[in-house]
Amino acid sequence: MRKLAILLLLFSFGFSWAQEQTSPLVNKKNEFRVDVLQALAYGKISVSYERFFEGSFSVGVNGNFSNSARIEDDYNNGFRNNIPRYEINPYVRYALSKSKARYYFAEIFASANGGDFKEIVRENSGGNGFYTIKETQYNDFALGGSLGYKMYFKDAFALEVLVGFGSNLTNKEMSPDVISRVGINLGYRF
Amino acid sequence: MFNVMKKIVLLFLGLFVVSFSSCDTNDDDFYNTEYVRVNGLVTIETQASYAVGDKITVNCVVDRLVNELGQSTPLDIRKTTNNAPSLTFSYVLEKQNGSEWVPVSVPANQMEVSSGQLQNLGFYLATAPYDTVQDAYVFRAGLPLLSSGTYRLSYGYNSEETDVVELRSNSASDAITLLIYTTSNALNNSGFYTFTVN
Repeated sequence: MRKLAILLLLFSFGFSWAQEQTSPLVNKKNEFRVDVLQALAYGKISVSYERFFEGSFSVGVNGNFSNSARIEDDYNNGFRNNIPRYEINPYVRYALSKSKARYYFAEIFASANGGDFKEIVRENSGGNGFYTIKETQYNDFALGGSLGYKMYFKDAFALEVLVGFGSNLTNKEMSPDVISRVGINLGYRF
Repeated sequence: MFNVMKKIVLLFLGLFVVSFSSCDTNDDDFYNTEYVRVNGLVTIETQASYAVGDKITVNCVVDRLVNELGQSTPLDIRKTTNNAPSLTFSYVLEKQNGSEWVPVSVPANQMEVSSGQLQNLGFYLATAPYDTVQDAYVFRAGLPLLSSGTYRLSYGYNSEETDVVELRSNSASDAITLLIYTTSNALNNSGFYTFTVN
């Protein structure tokens, strides 16, 4: 009885493995995604493309464009001194599970990002000084890492949850210290 | 596989901690506030002696143009604050009761306010509105001394500083709020004006 159980277990693993190897997803190398969390919570457009290779690696790029009224209000009312406007985030991913249909993954990403920055400066006019808010643009470059989980439905539609953080490196006086990659993405693989 | 995942998760957590431990403060401050130093804007109208029924009067006049410490040109407060309607500051009047100092609470109808507004909120909140004729923010109010004893007046209620008075402009939320650190006369090294009412 025990031998039978082990045999069934091995058989089921083998069947599952064979299923994964023959999954239609193996032949679908491209995927587009949209981040619904960022869109609903922050008014941010976040789209991604991912290219899958043989084995466990994939590469991709994510683009974010923000025009959030809430962030704009915080900026105008002095609760923050910058507004991130764009992020271009290329990434490399490694699947941590064997399954092609649902798996955990880790990624490292870079981020070219920029936006508006403001500071108070003292100026002179007509022999008198005054303080005024001066606005400029910033650009910065970040590196970071993420973890996520992805699952497919009907061998084409993807649901992905992602949590990641990176640190800006070159212009921290003006840019946000931390770049976050937190999202719930819906995608299509083809 | 489990070990690889564990290492990656730990690596990620490490990255996470490093990212946040190196944060500076440029995401969590009030970026519309400017701090300046201008001495001598608040005055206690001191008397040689006080009797019951006298008033302790505080006076504040802040011209539109003030001499900011460390700057070669006068500072235009109106232009900086986008015409803030008033400045506020706070002070406390206490009376000695044995070894304790007890706040003196004067009802609004007994305050003698000749310019601006004064509110009793446990401390006294003074508001100096902009006066177009004087081209200055002006406040003057007296508090009656209703019983004999030793009193002291200080400005540090809303501040950790003892030797400065903090004047804050009531600017619109999207304009610059000016925080003016100034001095008052008659304070001792601990930041108190102590006097006796006979």
